Amino acid sequence: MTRRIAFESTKKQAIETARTRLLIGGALMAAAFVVVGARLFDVVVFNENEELRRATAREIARPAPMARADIVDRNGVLLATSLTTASLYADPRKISDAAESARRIVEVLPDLSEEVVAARLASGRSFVWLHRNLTPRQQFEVNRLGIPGLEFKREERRVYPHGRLATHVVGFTDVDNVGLAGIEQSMDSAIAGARAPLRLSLDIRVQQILRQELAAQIEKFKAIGGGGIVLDVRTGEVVALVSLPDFDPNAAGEASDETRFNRITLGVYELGSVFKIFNHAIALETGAATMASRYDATKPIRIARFTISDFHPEKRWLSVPEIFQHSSNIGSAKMAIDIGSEIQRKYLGHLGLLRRTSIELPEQAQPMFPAQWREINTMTIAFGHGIAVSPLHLASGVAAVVNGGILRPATLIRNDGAPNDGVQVFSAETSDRMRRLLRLVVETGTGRNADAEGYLVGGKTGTAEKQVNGAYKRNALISSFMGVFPVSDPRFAVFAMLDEPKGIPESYGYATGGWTGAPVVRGVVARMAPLYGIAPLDDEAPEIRQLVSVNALARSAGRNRSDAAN
Amino acid sequence: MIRPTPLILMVLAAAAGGALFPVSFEVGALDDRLAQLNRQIRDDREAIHVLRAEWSFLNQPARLEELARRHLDLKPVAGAQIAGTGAIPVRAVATPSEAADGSEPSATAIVRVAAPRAKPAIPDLRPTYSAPPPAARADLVRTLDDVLRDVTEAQGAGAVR
Repeated sequence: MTRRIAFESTKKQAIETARTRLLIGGALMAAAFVVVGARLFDVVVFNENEELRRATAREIARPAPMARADIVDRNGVLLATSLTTASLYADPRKISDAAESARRIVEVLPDLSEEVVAARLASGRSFVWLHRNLTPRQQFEVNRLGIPGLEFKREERRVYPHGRLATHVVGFTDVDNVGLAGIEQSMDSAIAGARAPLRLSLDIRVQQILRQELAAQIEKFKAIGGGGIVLDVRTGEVVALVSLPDFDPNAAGEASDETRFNRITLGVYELGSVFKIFNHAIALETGAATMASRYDATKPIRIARFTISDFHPEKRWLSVPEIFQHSSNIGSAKMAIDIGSEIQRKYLGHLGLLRRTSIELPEQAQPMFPAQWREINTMTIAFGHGIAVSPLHLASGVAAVVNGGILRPATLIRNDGAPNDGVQVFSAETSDRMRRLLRLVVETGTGRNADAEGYLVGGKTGTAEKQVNGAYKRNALISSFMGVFPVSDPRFAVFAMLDEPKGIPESYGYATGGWTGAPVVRGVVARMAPLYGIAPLDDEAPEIRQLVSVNALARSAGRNRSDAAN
Repeated sequence: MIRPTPLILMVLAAAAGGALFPVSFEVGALDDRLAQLNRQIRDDREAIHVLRAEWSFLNQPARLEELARRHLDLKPVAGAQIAGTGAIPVRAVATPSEAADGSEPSATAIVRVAAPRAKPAIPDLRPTYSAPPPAARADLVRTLDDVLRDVTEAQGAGAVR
């Protein structure tokens, strides 16, 4: 009995133990299943996007990061881009026979020097560059050598498909893709690592037209160089900027300083008579002279040790429009006296002619002007001597004269919305009068060669002797033409300049702005106007005369006077 | 003798394993394919990039100009060749012969009207020009819209034929 009881109790105890263990095991299993179920619920119900995100977060069709963004023109034409290339480097510690390796490397890369390569391979460092930016073929050849210790690194190389066409604007980079000139340098931080292309205000078609016309004229007049700029007078956008001679940015290292010099933004010149645009505008704006004022230009002015005389002397009293038309230095100087030094200086300052421009180029110059603004300076500055500014300064100031009087900072970046804020320098009325005067010069004055039929070009010639070591050089001229069109409602300012042109028989020995710069402007206007949908106008139609002629202004002024008298 | 419950569980486990195995292989294969496609996309992108640079290079204005000079009989547009729609004069409904047989005036009549003179675009802008000779006035019932419609209809008819 006891045995049985004992047996029964043992058996019972065992069953109890088993049951407890089973319970614990079951509970653990249940807990595990609850965890799995909860996680399943979590994954399916709450976290479905998480999986999607993780799946797409892998490098699915993601473009490789670019070292530098493209640069494109205003219409999206590629001006600068980065292409992937392979660069060859070596780990000299892994090179067994430096001399032999160098000999074999130079065999496939003949532009390398064997001594230099051997020296580098024997240097014992852990990294030496051998050749940057190999072509795919060169890379294959080097691979085939099978020399251990040679490695390739993927790099990006800057390429300029349009070569020298926009080179002074776009600039170039060094082999490490750091901008060294032009937009590449000034906008380096915006371009480096960016993806979206940088859109310039430049139009490559106009750039080509301007460059071609300038180059032809430089050739014709045996000039040492030249420059030109096309500026949208409403927005301040630079549509074309050319400086000749130029260089190929794809081989910028070989370019001489002479070709790298940007005559339009970095060069400062005494530009001569084109400055009369400002002199007349200031005189009319301040009321120092009116369109009806007359000045005695019968004989040269002698002041201190200088003589101010006219290039085409009329030797008579001239009205304000006639002074402009015949480009009279005497008349301009007398007008400047009436304006006064202080006011002249103030207005030239407002026009931005006494400080650097704000254009996005590192190649910029500080204008040169007298520290002490004496009366003689006032008189010479009236006709563009004794002050040296860059052609960009001039074009941007003239844009302000003709666009209704608002100076807008010149820019190379395309402006899609409202133009940059401008400063009102002149009244709309002064601007209107100046447009008529500019047209007068092209219709009947020194600028006839700029008249692109139908496009109502207005402008002013400028011919100045270059100063070399403080003395004016008789036969070294800067001759230029500053044009705007259409005068009835100006859209563009076009400037063209030749550096040291020589007179030719066709121009009767002259190398003045009317012979050299004006035809460039005519060519540029005639070819670019159709591109911009500018319709030709009939300059003889009465309603156009009303807008562009000086006489129409005089007539309506006369009418107003007689109205007042009645 | 195995009881039914574990048996079912084992069969289920085997089935799940069997189903999962191909899936995991498939995922591996897809992963490889993805990597391959990504590589290919990258290569294609690079190729496109190079082609874009080349396209820009081939479109150098100087080169296009030379090609146009060599292969086309076209010249830059001169200002005198451009006229606004306002400069196109209104035209009589029909020439006498067309009026006689009752047919619609043909679009070619426009070409006759717009025949350029020495300085075609410019005189037409003058307001005085819009006054037509008195004899033709009775026929002047058509506007530029009609002219343009004629042209489009003539082109449409030509396409059907």
